[in-house]
Amino acid sequence: MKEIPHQQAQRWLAVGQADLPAAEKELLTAHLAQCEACRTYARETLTLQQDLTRVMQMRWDGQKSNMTHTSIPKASNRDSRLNLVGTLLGAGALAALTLALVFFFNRAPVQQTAGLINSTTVAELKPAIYKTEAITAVAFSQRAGSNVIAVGYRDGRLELVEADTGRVRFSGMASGEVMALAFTLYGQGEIIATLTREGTIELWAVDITQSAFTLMGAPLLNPNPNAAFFQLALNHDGTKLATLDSVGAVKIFSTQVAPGETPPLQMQFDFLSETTFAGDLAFSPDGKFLAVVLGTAPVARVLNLETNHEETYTLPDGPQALWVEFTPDGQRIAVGGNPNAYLFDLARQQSLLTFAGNPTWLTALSLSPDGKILATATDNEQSVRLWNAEDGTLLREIQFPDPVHAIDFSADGQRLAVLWYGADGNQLEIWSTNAATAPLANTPTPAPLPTESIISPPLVTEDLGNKVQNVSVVWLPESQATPLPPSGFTFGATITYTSGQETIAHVVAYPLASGEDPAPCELNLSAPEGRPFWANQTNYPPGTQTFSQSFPYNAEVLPNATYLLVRINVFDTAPVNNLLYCQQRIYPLAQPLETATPAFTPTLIPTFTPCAIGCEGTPTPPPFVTTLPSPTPCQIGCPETTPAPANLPNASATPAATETPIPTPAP
Amino acid sequence: LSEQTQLLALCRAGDEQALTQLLTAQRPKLFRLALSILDDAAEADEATQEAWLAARRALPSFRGEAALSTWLYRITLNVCRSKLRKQRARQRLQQVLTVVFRWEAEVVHPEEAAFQLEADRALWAAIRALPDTEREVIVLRYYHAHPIAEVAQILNVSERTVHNRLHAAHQKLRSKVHRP
Repeated sequence: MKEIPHQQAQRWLAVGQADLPAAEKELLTAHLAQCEACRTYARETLTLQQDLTRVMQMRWDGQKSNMTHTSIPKASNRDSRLNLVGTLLGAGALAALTLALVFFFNRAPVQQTAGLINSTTVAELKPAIYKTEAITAVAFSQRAGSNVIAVGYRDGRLELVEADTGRVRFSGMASGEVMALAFTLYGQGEIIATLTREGTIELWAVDITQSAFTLMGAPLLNPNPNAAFFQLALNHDGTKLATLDSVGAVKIFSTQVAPGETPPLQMQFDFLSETTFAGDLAFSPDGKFLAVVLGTAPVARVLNLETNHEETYTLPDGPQALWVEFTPDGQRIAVGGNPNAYLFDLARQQSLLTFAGNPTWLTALSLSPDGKILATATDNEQSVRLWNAEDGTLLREIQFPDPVHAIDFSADGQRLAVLWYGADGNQLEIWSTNAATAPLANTPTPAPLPTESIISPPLVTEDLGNKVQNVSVVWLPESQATPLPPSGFTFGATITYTSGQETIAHVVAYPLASGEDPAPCELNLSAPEGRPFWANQTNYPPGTQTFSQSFPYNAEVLPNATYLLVRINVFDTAPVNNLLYCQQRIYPLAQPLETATPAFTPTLIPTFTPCAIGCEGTPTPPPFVTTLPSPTPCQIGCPETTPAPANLPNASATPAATETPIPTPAP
Repeated sequence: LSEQTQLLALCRAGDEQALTQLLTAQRPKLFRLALSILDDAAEADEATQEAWLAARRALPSFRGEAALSTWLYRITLNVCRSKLRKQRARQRLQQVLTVVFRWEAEVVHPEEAAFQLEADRALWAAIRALPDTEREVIVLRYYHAHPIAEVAQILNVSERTVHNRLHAAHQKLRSKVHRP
């Protein structure tokens, strides 16, 4: 493997491994494996990056805009005033802001190490990350030591975010607004289940170490066409998915599906015939029980999934039970109601504790992983209350400007995610005792290098709707689940549609590299600058039209592409090309074997050709062979037999060719 | 059909309300970008407002070469750069007046008092001391957490340029904060 100088390694470390092309990353990894000095440099760089993020967050995160979101203020002529008074006023405002910041940090001193959230440390909790966007659902990873949180958005985005830095590790696109999500372990990796507002559930296999993020099976719709899913839960090992739908049916599906298959239904419990859109589900830590509350009565049910036996627990007061969660030992359940929360002992079948004093119904509930802290959120009060789950005392109440929608403890019990609906957008805050300190910098072992931030877009088909009629689209190739070969295939689309106006049909395609998130379907009509792409379009008069376009794929011009994005658009023609229809597909591209298997690295032997040319009747050997031990061709002389040409343009993809010895040369 | 898609279509058809709604949804992000460039909430508000107005004027010609958010980021960044130039002109004038009136020349930046740790203060000062081009890259990469490719799109430069600026910034920051 090629050696790189230290300076080059340090330059790449500054860029960050996540943003390096695969080949450069490989070289860097090899270099780091051998160079202690550069490993030290890497750790320092990581610390510096984390410190930069932290310092800038400390500086800017607390500052708010004074503009109202409903109006655009009039243009100001402040910039044109070069006067000292304005400058001094600005300095005065800055000083006031500084005083506020000093007060804030004095009130909540920065901790140097992360602490478990418990009855003592709840007083030290403060927010770390502010992420303001149309976030609709959050859930922490359940992997030990992981600080990754899954974040679902109104526009369907699904992101895995490092909770302490805000860095997006993965990103993908669900088929619609993410209304709920569950995130747990699954084999060697993890699994996320997303539920869209339209009631579609999608399962995503996540492997953070390998940066893989793939859609499992086909999207799941409720088998009952008259009811929609609105809540879901995954069991401890991610093999079972429980759903609650709008007619009170609880269904349990297996998540172990082949690509393209719908998760099979394993069990079903019907509790209601009336419509409900409130309620919750939770598996016990061992996966043998499922707790269910339906939101229509003050009752929690615990189903034994092995015997189908059901126990019910009635709340002492209030009209409904809304949230439920098992304690880590599986012996108790916490139930959130209206307005109080309760802790039930399953063996004794009685309520142990009441968490009273909430003014209205609870909007969220979460137990810390050790079961000692219960977090609840209420609607009217716009607050999160942290309770001692062992004695029912209120430990702390944190106020928010707007109602809190979701709360979740991290698996290590050191962070609490709070999602609240703000006027400026939904706000995600991660509360911890060391909000301003990045934990990686404090671990005694060397901090790991940042792992690759590959964005593996899910295999999605976006459909913007029906602004044209009678649309049918045929994609080429048909399969979108199987990786396409490294080279030598054709892709494209044929669209047939009817429109009452003049239209432009347009197909565009371009490669997506690792770590790249495609823009929404309608917003990106051509390849980003400087990137190879294919595109064609045709204008059509009103009526029914068929537009077909296909392109040959050549891996040589897209050496770093991991996915191929293909998009078909229909526009009107005046005045500004409104988008009438758009679909897109993302195809995974198979990687050539030599990149997957370093032993088969192609070797260029340009000096072989002149020697062979001098041999009459001998076909010219191709320029590429694989894993040859660098023979000197002119010492070898002219081969009696030529390496099989059939192997050779694709020799790099044919392992057998790598085993082919150099033919014994004639003297 | 996503809300943003609908809004974009309405905007292109000249719907003022949709335009306001679309830009309003992006405003917090734009404010945060402006704040991190200008380091002044009031200035950032003004920059966001100017970026809005610029985007309103330019939206009909937005053809989607980049994502909408990237396009808005770029507009906001240009507005901020312009304001920075004016801000510095004001500062130069202030320095002249300071000399004329014999005011205290050495002013401790009050925001540095917000950092309790000496190391943080030093790092913040080092960030402030970076050239604009390098500070923009640092801010977009580590504060806004944009990937390199997106930073390049926002700044309208090549990824290679972003790499170079990032490396140069790292070298300067390391030399100033004296990391062990």
